Amino acid sequence: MSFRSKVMISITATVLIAVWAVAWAVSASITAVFERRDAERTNTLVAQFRREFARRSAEVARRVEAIAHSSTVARLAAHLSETQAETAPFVNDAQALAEEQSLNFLELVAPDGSIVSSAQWPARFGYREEWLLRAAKWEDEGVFLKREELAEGPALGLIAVRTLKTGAGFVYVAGGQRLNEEFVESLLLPEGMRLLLYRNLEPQFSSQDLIGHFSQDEVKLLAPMIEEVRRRPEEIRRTLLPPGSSTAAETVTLIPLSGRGDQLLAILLVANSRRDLAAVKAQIRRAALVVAASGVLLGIVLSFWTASRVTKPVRQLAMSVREVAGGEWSTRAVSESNDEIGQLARDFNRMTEQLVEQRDRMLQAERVAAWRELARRLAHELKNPLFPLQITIENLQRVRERSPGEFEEVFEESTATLLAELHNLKEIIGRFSDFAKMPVPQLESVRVNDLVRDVMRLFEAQLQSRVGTVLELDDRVPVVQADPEQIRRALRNLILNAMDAMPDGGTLTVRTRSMPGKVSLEVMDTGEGLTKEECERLFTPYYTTKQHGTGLGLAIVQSVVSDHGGSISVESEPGKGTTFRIELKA
Amino acid sequence: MRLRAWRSLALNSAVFAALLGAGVRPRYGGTLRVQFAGPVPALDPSDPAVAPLVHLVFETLVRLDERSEPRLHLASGWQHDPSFKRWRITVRQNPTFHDGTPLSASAAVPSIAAALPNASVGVAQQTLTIQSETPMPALLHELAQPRTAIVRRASDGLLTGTGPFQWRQPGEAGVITLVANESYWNGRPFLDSAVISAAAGQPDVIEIPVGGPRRVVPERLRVWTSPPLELLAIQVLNATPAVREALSLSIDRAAIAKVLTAGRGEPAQALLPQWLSGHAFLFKGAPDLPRARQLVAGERTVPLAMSYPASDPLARAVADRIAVNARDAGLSIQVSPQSVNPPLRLVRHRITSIDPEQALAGISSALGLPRIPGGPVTSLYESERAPLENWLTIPLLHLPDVFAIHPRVRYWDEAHGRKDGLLHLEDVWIEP
Repeated sequence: MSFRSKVMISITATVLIAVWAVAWAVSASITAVFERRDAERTNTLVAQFRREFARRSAEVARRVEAIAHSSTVARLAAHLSETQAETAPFVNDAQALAEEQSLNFLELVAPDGSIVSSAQWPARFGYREEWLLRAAKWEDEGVFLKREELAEGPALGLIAVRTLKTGAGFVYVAGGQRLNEEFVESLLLPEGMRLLLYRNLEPQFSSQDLIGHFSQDEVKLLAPMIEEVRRRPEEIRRTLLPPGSSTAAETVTLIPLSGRGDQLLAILLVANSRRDLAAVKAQIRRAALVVAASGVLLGIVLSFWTASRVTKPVRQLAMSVREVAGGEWSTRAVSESNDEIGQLARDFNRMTEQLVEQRDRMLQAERVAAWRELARRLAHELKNPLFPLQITIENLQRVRERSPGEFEEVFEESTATLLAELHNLKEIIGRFSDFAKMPVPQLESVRVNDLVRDVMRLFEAQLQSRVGTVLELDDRVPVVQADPEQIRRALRNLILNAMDAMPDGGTLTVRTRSMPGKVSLEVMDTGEGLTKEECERLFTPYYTTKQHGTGLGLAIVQSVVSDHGGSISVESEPGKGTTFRIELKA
Repeated sequence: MRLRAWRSLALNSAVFAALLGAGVRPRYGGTLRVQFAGPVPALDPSDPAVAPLVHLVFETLVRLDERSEPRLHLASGWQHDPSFKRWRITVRQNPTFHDGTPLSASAAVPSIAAALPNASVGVAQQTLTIQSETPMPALLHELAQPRTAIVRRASDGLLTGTGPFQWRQPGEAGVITLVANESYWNGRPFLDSAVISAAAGQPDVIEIPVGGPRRVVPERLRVWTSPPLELLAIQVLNATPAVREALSLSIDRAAIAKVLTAGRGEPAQALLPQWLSGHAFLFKGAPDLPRARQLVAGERTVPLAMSYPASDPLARAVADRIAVNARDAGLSIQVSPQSVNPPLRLVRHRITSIDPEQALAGISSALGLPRIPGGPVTSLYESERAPLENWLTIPLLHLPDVFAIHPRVRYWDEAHGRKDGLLHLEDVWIEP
């Protein structure tokens, strides 16, 4: 990743994190305010509901009281005081009384609990209402919720019971109003709030028992909340989130309503719209997005500006480093600024200057060392043939002086020796001369495999006697541009070295391989191998591990390979043989 | 006219004498206003709804007495062959139609032929000959039915009869106005006229429907109840035997009769009321809810629809109560006046004959029950019991007629002591 990208990401991330943190904090703060306000509104509406409930309850009680004191009920009570009184004449009275008092439920019940007349289910005359006989004083029980059985199914009612004493006991007047849509809609609701009532009359949840304005999709969301209260009748508060619409979210408070005996008969759902909160949050989000987008844009601009001021000198410096690595030691980095980058550039320049000086000194030292080595080697090589020359001439002088008669014989022997040593000297000097004046390669198209086969044929006789040969020539090796004579010479030197490394026999392997853009030529032996230090000095002129030799063979090979733009390397371990690898451009 | 009047007076002398003996003097004249509970249809002898009134205008050849024995009325005599396939009925000569035309056998032929489609009716002078391929041992009882009344249709479509009252036609819709037949062959009625409608101003006789909303009866009126003349029953059109039996076992008929009819109706498990058959008590049985639940438990039940006559408040109340009772047994019944092809139907049938056999035949025909004719081998009881054993018809109540009578209407109880289900306005009179 580039420096510019890192800068851009850093700035952008900083802006985004800052914006998100601010937005979150503001949103959380506003949410808390809304939640408080929502709770207050809900409590207000619940209080209103409770007041209305109490008012309705008082109204129901008053009406039931009126019925209990009506002439009809008085007549019924008087009639029931008689023994074997027939209640048939009163069977239809409850309906009329209920209509008079605008009650949905009314039952006139005899002292034994049997229904005399029922407004909500007239056909139930004679059936017993045992629950009426269980309370000691109904006037003290107040008004309560009750499940009422009707012909069409159960209903929920707000019920009051009053009694009228007769000679045979009490006549019970149980009446009330139905808790239905009308009741819910009678409540005045503030804007943004709505009221639902769930009548808990069936064993399983049923959407038919939910009263109020709602959609079928909302039923699916409300059902789990209602089930929660059904399982544990406690007030809970939940958020209703219709899918795909955050503005329609509502806070729903569920309040259980129980009848006598703490039986859960209804659940009041107070829903408070979170539209305003959603709107504000949306506004915050939009603002945050705008700021974030601006921040990102700023980040991009800053990153470009920063990059142009910071990365450009760094790139220039990097380019200078690459040039130096490529061998252009005279490269100078530009240092226009006084900041760290400028200081770095100046330090870089100082470093390269020092490197150049050190290189020159090292080259000089190497040159001196090479001359010393050459002188040493030359002295060593020349000393060997010169000593016999000196001995022979001194011997001739001695014999001429002491034994003139043997001088002719000694002269012949001595001159032969002198000529042989002079021949050695000439060879030595010839090799030095060859190394000194390596010719420029005359490039032509060369088939490396054919060249290898030619060279191997030269050594065929020598190799057969004690060294096995393996040729692994890759047919895909292409034609290379090279000087065939110099390549042959290099190959011959490598083969000669390999043979010298296997005095007791072994295997010589010559392998060619085609590589992308290159041709590889390997010469492997199974000789004693070389140490690491020997490998490092192997290509140094006049360095040799052999007792005889000029130490120029591998230097010549390296020079040939270098003149062809190739490379040579060696791999070896003591006891495991040595592999020389030449790579030439294809 | 005067002669006829005196003759009528003479004919009523027995009555007159009895009343004198009792210290009551009948009075001629006045208009009796009768208020019925529901709409009053036209006087059609074939309509069971007006059967109690038909005889006032259209008379039959035969009438039944208190013992359900046939008595001569417009017929003066009868004969039949040993096989009861051929009858000869002599028609009385002195009755006249309201237009003055004398009654003749030939005038009676159309009415008799229409009422007896399976028989051939011939006439020879003043004698009707009625023949059939099958024996007609109960022909006289049939000829006592209102549907066999002698009716003459005039060219203008108006109907005339020979009864003690003449029907004023065309009249106001929903109102039957009867005017005394001055030349009635059996004695002019005491009343000058009778107006029968659903909304009579200041009625003298008010029909009180059994069941339904309680009607306030003016204090001065007394309530008169006839013997049970109507059967209220459930006709089961589609239910399994177990469900039918369970339904019958779940119904508390006593509570329905006691409360919904204010005790006027009688719980019924037989088709015929006790006073008519004498053996209705043999059909009694109390509700058995455990047995009913057991029967229902073994069934895969679905809600059953029950229809009832929409204009009958008693039927509605009874249907609702049956639904409550059935629910206790595990049956679900949905009550509606307008169900199409309901499995259950609440029906009312008016008994039109005081002859038990004829009455049973009428009920069986109306309810689609298989008729097992009575006779020497099969008793009336067996004939009545057999069709009830599969609970395709579930009797519920026997209902009476109930009227509130103004004190100025006299001889009402005595006139209706015959328990024949007819309104004998020809025998009552009113005090001014």
